[in-house]
Amino acid sequence: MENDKKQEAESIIEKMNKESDLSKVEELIKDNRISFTYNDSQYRVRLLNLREKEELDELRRKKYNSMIQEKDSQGNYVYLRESKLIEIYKQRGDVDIDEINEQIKKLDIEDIDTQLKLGESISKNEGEVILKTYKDKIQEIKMKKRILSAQKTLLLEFSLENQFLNYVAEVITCLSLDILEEGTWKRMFTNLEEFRNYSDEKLINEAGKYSLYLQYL
Amino acid sequence: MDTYNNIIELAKTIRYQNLFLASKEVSGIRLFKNTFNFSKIQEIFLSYLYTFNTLHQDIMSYNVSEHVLDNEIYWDSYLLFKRKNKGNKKEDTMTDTTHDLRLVAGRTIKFKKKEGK
Repeated sequence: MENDKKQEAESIIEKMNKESDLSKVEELIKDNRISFTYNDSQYRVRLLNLREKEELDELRRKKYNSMIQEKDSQGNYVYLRESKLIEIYKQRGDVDIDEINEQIKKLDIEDIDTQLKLGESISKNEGEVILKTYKDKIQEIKMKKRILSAQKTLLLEFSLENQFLNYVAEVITCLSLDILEEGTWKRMFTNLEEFRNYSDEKLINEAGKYSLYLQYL
Repeated sequence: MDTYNNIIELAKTIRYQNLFLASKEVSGIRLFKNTFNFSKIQEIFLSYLYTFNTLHQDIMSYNVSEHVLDNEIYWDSYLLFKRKNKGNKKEDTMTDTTHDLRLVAGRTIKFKKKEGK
C-alpha cells in the first residue's frame, strides 16, 4: 500500500516535470526571438536584421582574412585547415582521420540498410522480437558513429574552420542580444570588444545558448 | 532539460497536432507569433509536426500500428522505408515506357477506321 502511494507520487512528479519541460520548450518556439530574465533584468535574443547581417559579413571577412594569414613568432601559421591537420596527424602516425571518415561512411550504409529492413518489418507488422532485434542493432551502429564523430570533432577542434565557426557564433550572440531599458529594447553591446570584455560570463553563456537555438541548434 | 527531445515530445502532443491541422485549414490560426523568418528551433519543430502528422494519417488508415510512435528509430525507419518504396514504385512506372506512347518521339496512334467509311 505504502509502496503504491510512493509510486503514484513519483509518477505525478515525473508528469509535472515533463509538463514543465514542455512549457519551457513552448516558450522557445513561440516566436523567432527568445526573452529571458537574468538578475532581475529582461533580455532577449533575436534573429539579425539586414543591417546586422551586413555587419556580421564584414566582421567575418576581416576575421577570415586575418586567420588565414596569421603566423606565430617562428613563422608558422597559427590556424591550420582541417585538411592540413589531417595530414599532420597521419604523418605523426597518431591517428588517421580519413580512416575514421571511411568507418563512419560504412556505418552510415549499414545504418540505412538496417533501418530499411526495420521499416519493412514495421509495415508488415512483424513480431516485436524482430523489431527489437533491428532496433538494438541500429542503436549499436548509431552509438559507434557517435563515438567516432566525437573523436573526430575533438581532433579537429582547433582547425581554422572550427575556430572560425566559433568566432561567427560569438559575433551573432553579440549582435543579437538586447536589454530592456525603460520599456525599450536596446542592443546590449555596441561592438565585439565590449562583448568580449563583459564581466558576467554567465549572462553571455545564457545568451549564447539561446542564440544557438535560433540560428543553429 | 533535453531541448531536442522535448521539441519532439511537444510536436507529438495531440494539442499541437490539432493546432497544426487547424492552422493549415483556418487562416486565422497560427502556430507561432511570427509568420515568416522562422528560427532554427521553429523549423525543426515544424518538421516534426509534419512527421507526426504523416504518421497519424498512416495509423488512421491502418497502414501501420500506433507502436511506430513508441521510438524514434521506429518512426525514422518506417518513414525511410515508405519514401524508398514510393521512389521505387515511381521509378518502375517511369522506366516502363513500352506502353506509354507519349514518351516515344514521332510515334502516333493510328485509330482503326470505322467500317464503311
